[in-house]
Amino acid sequence: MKALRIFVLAALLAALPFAVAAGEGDTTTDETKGSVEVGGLFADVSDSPDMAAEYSTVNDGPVGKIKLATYQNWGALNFKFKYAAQDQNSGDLDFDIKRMVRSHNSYNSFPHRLGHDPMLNLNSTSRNGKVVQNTDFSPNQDYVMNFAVFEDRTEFQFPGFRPLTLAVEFREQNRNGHTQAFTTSHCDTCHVKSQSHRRDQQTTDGTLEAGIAWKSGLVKARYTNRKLRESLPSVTGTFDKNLHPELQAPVFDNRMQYDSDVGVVPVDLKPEIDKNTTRLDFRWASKNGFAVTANGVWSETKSRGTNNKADYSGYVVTAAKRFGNNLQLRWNGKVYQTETNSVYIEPIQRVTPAGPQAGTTYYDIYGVTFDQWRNSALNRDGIGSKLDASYRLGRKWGTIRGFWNYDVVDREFYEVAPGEKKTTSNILGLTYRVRPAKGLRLDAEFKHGDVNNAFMVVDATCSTLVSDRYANPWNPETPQYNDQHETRIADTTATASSWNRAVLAVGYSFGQTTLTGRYVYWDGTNTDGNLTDWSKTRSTATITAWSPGGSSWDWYVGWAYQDMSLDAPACIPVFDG
Amino acid sequence: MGGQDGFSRNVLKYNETSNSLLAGVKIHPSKRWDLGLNVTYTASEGGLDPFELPADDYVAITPTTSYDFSLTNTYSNIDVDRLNADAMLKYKVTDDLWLRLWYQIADFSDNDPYLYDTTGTVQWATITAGWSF
Repeated sequence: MKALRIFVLAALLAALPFAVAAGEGDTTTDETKGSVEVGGLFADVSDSPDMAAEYSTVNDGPVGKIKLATYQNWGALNFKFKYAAQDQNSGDLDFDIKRMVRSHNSYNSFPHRLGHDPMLNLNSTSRNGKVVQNTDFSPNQDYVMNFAVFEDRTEFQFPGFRPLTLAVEFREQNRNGHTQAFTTSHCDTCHVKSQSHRRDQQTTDGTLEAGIAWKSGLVKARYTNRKLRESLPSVTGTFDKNLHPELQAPVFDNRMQYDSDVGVVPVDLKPEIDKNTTRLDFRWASKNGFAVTANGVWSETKSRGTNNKADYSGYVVTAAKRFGNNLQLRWNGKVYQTETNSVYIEPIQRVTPAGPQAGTTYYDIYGVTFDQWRNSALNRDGIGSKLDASYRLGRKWGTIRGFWNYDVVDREFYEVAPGEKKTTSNILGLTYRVRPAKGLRLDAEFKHGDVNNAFMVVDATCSTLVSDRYANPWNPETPQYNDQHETRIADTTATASSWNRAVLAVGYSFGQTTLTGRYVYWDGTNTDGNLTDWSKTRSTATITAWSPGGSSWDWYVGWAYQDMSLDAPACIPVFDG
Repeated sequence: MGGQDGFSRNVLKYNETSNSLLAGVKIHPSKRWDLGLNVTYTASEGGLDPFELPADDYVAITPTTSYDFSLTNTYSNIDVDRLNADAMLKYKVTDDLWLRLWYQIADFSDNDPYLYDTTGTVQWATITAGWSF
């Protein structure tokens, strides 16, 4: 609300000179109307409100609604505000001063219930002392985040130079409340600890924009600065000491990066981010039906904690041309690049203080350090093309449209198939729209997608390791987790390499009643990788009927149906621990 | 001890179905009265078919080892239904002055809880008086 007050005051002060300058010689307009509504809200909760009122208040209290609209010589103002509860209210403020200052402001707030995981599924034990257990340090905490967003766009147009429009935008999103923070200690026990994490997060966007328009076109530039901040410090925690579950001795220290030896450390740390985005837009349309639009976007996103960066640059061109009254062609092309910095990981080489491996590091025993560069799967060059042609067969026979979408994602590091970093997709489609009789409308669409090297995790599961038995688990020849990792052979995915989509929609109006029906079928598979038997089928259907009835009543009924089937393989290693 | 004998693999089948019914009516029986009623009911179910990840050869030589997945498919079950209904009654005392009653109920049933039972019902009622100018 502080941001709202500051902005309204600033905007009105900025608008004052324009209003004074435009005061002379105008006809008189004076119309004001509005309403005020006040009362009380009574709420009753049985059992859990987490899903029944996931995004709604459950607080009793006063409610109010105000609407005000005024049209004056100096311009117009439209104000609405609804107060449902302290944690749920919304409002809009629009004003227009002589078409020289146009401002739209909106505010919306509501709670989001996150639920409290009691972690009961984390209680288990084995015959030889291995335990999964949990501790909840905040058992009575309700986890709710209050969401509030204020958005403003104010445009300025100068009396002496109408083609120029300047705009400022301001957006502030606040999320405050409590979230459930989890930490997991290993390997004395798998000990999951939960605590309340009090949050106060702000995401603030400030934008400056300038555009020049002429009869057939527009050039616009805008710059946006975004800051994501956490006003409260992170919570802290202490990890359990790594101990052998039966011996309760520190024999595993050389396998863990840290435990209680680091003392109290920040946990559930949330990143703070800065992002700067620049965008240029161009639009032009000729008198003979040819139009072109183009834009470029450049952004840099940076983590304040780690200084890791992600850079994006993208360019889009769209051209459309109408040939006569029946044929239209349109093409949209896109190229973009995403780059993030690589990170070098150098695991700590801890020394085990006790047991058969006392005085040694993991490297001393097994000769492996796991030092590595972490390279992002986001680093890529992308190309996209969308071509469509539509032809109007006539008033009686409707319109047919065909399209071809082509996309290439060429990754810098990440392999989506052995030795392959490039994904190429082609989508072909046909639509048909017709009004065969008065009041009747039919729409049909068919799409086929074919993806070469769809996104996949290569060698993600199904370890083929077959090992010997070792009487002594400390034997350096015993297979390690990385041995199990390196012998995996199955590729996993959740993306189709081939799919079809069909849509049929019908609308029929008779009298004052309108019936609509829509059916969508999607079927996709991916068997391209090794042991990758993935497939999904989805059907959705909706039927609605509504009627404005007469002046004394109106009604609607509807039915929506969805069915989804998913087949995906699962693997488990067969071993005795 | 500490041995691995390869892997066991199977294709798991998951199915999800959802149905929603909705209806509403607004009635203006006279110049002074407005009534409205909206109802939405949704029922959704989802779950894995029973599956096996057999490790027969391994279990034969290690009899104490259990590879029983007979209940594992049920851990992913979803079985919920939800009723949302609201009713509004507005009476215009004069052309500029009105009274409004509004009632809403949201009833959520979690018939196969996962982490915890999220079943619950919330009811809201507001009584307001309004004036237009």
